[in-house]
Amino acid sequence: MSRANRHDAALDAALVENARKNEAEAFGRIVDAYQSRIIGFVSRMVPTEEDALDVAQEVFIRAYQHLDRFDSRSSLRTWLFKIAHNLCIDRARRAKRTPVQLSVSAGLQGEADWELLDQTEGPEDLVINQELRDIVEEAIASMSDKHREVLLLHEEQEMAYEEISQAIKVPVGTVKSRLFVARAHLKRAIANYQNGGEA
Amino acid sequence: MSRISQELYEKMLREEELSPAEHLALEEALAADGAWSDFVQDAAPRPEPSMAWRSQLNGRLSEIRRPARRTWLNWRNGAGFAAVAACGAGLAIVFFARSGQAPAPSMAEAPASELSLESAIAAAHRDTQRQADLGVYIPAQPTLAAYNWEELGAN
Repeated sequence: MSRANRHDAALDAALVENARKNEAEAFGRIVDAYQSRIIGFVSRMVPTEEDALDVAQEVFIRAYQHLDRFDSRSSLRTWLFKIAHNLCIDRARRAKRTPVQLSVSAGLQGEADWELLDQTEGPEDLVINQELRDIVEEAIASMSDKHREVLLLHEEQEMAYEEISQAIKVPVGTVKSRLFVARAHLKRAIANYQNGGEA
Repeated sequence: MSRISQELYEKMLREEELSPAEHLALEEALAADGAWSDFVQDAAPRPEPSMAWRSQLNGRLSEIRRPARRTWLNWRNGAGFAAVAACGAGLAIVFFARSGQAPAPSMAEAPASELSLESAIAAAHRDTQRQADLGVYIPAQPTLAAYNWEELGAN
């Protein structure tokens, strides 16, 4: 597990147990541990920052209200992101926002595209500057919702395929397919940037 | 990025079911694809919440305080009710068991043949004890009688 997302399952279990005993301070520590991750995820799943902050609060409120339903079969992290996923879907539905779909034509279209990706440096070799940051943010924002959320949960939150499968209720195979497509989309944007083209 | 066929890629875009061989190819492609986590985390840092946001959340949480856990003696709590009911049943059993015992005859009911001084004292004691057990009688504290010792000595 990586630097940013290290968390201790035993500590989480203890926090949940204490929070269930109505100890507000214990729930506050859960918020401390996850607020940044939840906001980071939600802010890329809803259209405005205002919506994101509102949905993120709602995630913790729902969690607090339904803490008795958390059965420890999944991790606290998976449970919180499941709530976040559901709230983002509800928000999109209420706003009657048509989910962004990544069409086949938006993906890799032939040998030339694959060769472009082959020539692109791996993530370890990329030098991150502000321009690249903007390219990455734009590429993530332009993905379909379902691909974006899998990319964020796996790469940003470092959740395993099975965890993501539980959180968004799709088969593990679908999680892997979506992740591959999302990475290809991201990598094509980076390749275009490196080749001086459009992202 | 590890190469897969265009056909497989388009199947993934359409989220069609993959064959075992295609699934294996996908697994290999994902595994060979490098570590994207650190890159994404560095390139797209997550925002930090403001104090105002947290303060607002705390306010909302305090407004919807969850009900405190019910105590075991709470009447609405099944376990509490059962415990109280069990206590009541226990008291009733003790009471009826005692009242079901053959009562010792009181002085008034005792046959004349048993009206010896010993049996009278024993019956009186049992009456007193039973009343004390039931809480309807508190034995009086013994008091010192005032005797005129000179008169007693004169007799």
